[in-house]
Amino acid sequence: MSSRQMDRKEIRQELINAYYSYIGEYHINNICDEIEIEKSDIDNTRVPEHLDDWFTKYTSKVKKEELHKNILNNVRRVLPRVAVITLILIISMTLVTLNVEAIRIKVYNILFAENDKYSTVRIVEEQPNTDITESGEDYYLPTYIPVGFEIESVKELKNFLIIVYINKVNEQFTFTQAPNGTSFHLDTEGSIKEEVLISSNKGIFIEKGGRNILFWSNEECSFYIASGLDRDSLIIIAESIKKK
Amino acid sequence: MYKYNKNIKQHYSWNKIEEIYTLYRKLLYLTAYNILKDHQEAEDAVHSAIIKIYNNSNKIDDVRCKKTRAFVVIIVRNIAINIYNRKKMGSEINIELSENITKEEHLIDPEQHMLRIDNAEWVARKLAQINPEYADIIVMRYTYQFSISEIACLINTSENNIRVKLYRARKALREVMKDE
Repeated sequence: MSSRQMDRKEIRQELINAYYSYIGEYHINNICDEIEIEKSDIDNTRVPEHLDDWFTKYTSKVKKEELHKNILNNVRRVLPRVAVITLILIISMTLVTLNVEAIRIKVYNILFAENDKYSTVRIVEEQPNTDITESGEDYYLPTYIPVGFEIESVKELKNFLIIVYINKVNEQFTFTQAPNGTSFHLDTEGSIKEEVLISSNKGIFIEKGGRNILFWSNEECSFYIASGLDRDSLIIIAESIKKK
Repeated sequence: MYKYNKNIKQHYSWNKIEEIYTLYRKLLYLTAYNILKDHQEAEDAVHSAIIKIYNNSNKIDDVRCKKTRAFVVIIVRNIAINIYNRKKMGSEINIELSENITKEEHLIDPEQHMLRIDNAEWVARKLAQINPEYADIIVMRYTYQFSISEIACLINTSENNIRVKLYRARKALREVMKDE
């Protein structure tokens, strides 16, 4: 069937449907006219009480159902918003709680996180930080310096001290100290690591390609010596530090 | 009346059904009783009609308009007729489908029949005289624009019965127009 024929058929169908609907309108009018004719009979009709009773019960049931449905719809509409607000509140409360220093426990730990290319060493304070160490000008300094070494440079950045020692043949070692909590990134790719004790404090010795690193901490500060000097020399230097 | 109205939906449907019942309870009851001649059965027909009207109350815009008045009469009348037929036959009449219903066979052909608007009232009256159910089914399908399944649900019968009644109504309508 061609599209033109189809269109014609559809138009014809619509026309007929419209005509049926038009006849329907007159049927409605006819029904209403008949109701008017029978008006007195209708008015004189006595509806049984049962029917009214049934209707009262039916409407009360329907009212309950509709109210219930309405409440459910409202709950469904509001619930996602409440969930989002609650989630935000929980996250905010969690963040606030974690940031309150009073609830943190005092334990000093060396956290040693290994990555592919470097290691992060950080002394973490997990306790009420009511006694934060303010190093100020009171720095720890090594009292033992290997023979021939002298201070080449000192860099001081608020609580952070870097001293470079050098000898006549240009060998050098760097002594660094910083308050606990400072992160140190140590190049440990392909290195040998060893746990050591420095004046009863835990430390790490790292050996990589002729360059040695010793890292340790006490209750106030973290220390870091990097040098071509051997392990034992570094440990002696480390054990000699004193506050000045 | 049957225009979907969003604002109406926001109101409780029981307000509307209460108004309908208050206005038309006598009309509903008398219509059912005139067919069934039994008080209890007439009550049952009204119960059923009220439930059906409530379920479709979102489509009722104006409770007092002619379309609503005719709608409640059509619903209760057809429910009562179905109750009467079931009682008479012992079970629901399943109209045989051997009448080979085709969609087009008994449609009015506008090219053969003059679709005269001025005689629509006469055609409607004549059709209702042949069988009021035919006129009712035409109104429900084409004026109120209910689907076959909606009509079946409204008057408690099967979709097949509605299809057959609609077919017969259109066939009767064609005969009426031939005789005109």
